[in-house]
Amino acid sequence: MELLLARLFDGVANGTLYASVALSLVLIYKATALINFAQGEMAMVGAFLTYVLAVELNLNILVALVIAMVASALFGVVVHRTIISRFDEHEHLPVVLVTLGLLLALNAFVAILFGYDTRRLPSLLPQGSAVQIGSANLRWYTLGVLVVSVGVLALLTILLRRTNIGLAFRAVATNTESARLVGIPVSRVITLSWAIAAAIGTLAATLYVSDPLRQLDPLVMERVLIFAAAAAVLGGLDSLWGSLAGGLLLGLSESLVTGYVSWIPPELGMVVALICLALVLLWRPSGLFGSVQVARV
Amino acid sequence: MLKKWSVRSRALVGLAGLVLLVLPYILVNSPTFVVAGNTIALGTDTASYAVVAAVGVLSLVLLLGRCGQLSLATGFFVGAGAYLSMIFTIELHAPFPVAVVGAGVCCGLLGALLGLPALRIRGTYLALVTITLAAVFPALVRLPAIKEWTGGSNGLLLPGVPEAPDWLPIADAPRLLGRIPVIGPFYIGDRPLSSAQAGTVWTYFAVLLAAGLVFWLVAGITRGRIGRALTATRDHEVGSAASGVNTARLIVTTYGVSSAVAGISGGLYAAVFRIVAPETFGLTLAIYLLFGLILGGQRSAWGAVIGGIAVAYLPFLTGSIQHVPGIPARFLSGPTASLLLGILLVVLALLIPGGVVDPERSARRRRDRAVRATKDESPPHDGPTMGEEPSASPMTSNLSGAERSATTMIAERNGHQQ
Repeated sequence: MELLLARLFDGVANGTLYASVALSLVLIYKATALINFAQGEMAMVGAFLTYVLAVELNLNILVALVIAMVASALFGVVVHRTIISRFDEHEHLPVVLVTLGLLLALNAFVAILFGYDTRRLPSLLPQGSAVQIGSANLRWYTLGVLVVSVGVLALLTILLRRTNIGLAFRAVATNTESARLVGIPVSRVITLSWAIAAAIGTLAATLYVSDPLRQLDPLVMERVLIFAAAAAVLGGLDSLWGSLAGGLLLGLSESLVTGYVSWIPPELGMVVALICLALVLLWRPSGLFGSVQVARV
Repeated sequence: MLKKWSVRSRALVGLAGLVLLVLPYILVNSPTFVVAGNTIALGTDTASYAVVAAVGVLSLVLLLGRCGQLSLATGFFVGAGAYLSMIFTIELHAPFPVAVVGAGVCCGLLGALLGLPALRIRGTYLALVTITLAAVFPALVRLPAIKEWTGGSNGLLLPGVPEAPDWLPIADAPRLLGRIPVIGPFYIGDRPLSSAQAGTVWTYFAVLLAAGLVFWLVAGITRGRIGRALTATRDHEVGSAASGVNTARLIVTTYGVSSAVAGISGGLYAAVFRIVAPETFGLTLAIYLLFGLILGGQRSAWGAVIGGIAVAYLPFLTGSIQHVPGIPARFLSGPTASLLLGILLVVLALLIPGGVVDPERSARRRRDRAVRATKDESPPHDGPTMGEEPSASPMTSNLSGAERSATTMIAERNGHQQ
């Protein structure tokens, strides 16, 4: 029972972080029907920036995180403006290739600058356990991650539902051509979504590696990207809250399956993501909460 | 439908064939060049790997370029092919060529199986799902349940050493080739090869032969009717289905063939390096092959050859070059290949989206040239006169009017492959 609780808590902490990265994938997909495969690595660069600011320049970790998020947002803007917006939005292949190229280049760049040594980030959230049930700890970290992720999702929902920017975004997501016709600055709206997505990614990556049980290295986000991609597809690529559901589902099944199924050890949790993905896609090709695409001829 | 080869292209192909035959004998002596303080020692293995990579890129050309399916699972199938051919050899004691073919067949079936659910998802969505498959491969082969066969994190080693068969004069050829002027005395010499050298040269020839067979088979499949159906399905799936193409069957078959090609490429990889490890086949390999695709061109088998050479030699060169004035050493000793390749991928996609070999671009150029030529010759009258054969390419002249124009259009998009 206690072991089960401990595994549930672990699953929730991981799941909400997968959900946050998934959220940044979903945000861009909603606006442009494109996937930024470099999202994980952009977030990793952001986490390294937080590390440099907080550890090597001795800034407060929160200040460092905010600066890193702003810098990531700017980087997102630059990537969209200089590279992505040059391609035809109906051609998927070039953008997939370009973002994969960015993935490779950013990863190699950070590996060259910092090496593959692991680094420890000062904790963002209070240490220790909030609730102790037998040997199962509900850590402050888990609670904090849950609160931040859900908070970001709620803020984003308010932004989309209650503001003019959100209205413009939803118009672009529904029909780019019509949005352009009624005078919405489509390109600027999409650039903004890249900025927000990059900032959320950096937040999630920094939270992920600030867990005292984890360390920062250039390879840390490849795994997270795969889980986030699976979470986004599971929840439905165009559903914000679906990404939270997908992330939690994956985080919980990862920690429970690797905990109880002896032939999948914990370090091979990615296999669980693949199995979940295959099962859900066979049952519902557009994910749990995604809108079903209808092709009109 | 074969277009007659011009004298020039025949001469070029003959020359390329000659170079491919002599090349391993030059490379086997590891000719070393010193360029601005960097020692570059060439070897036969990199050339063999270029051939292997070309087959891998061909698999992408088939699925992404010709069929328009944005599937990134090729890295997975290359890995599966490498592991399966090793396992068939080690556990079932199959002769290695049989093992490679077996691995190709298994990967083909697996790929067709993947194609079934993939029919329901499109575009980026498909890319997102299939990239998971490629990224998960290293974790899959490390699963304890199959560790007995896959060797877990240690990977597998092919026992024995490559040996050239006795009935081929591979070791003795230098005596003959050494007489070639200029390069002969310098790089080939006239001593027979040692048995280890003969083994690597034999591997090169075997891999080259296998790759040639695969290219020939794929060219045969994608030519003519099936090739046009592929183009039509890629450009407009609904329209193609309405014209009588069984698109579902076509796409699933293409998944199968493409995965089989990827599997064979993996088997050849195992033949060249004789060792496979989980981390070799993951996301990075998938992206490297995609780089080969975008460099060479998405729609042409010749592009796959160029892509394969780049995929093999770019990491080799960045590994050899350790001193460049003005660039800090850490940038040259780390994962430089990945950095360069990632940047190149972005730049190439921006500058030459069609790749180096772009059949559409060359078809446009050929057509423009033909138009200019007819303008120069024809007397000044408008349009074809009565009774005159309307201007159509000879390959379509036995078709009726409506059919002819459609076929000509498709053929132009196809770029008259071969």
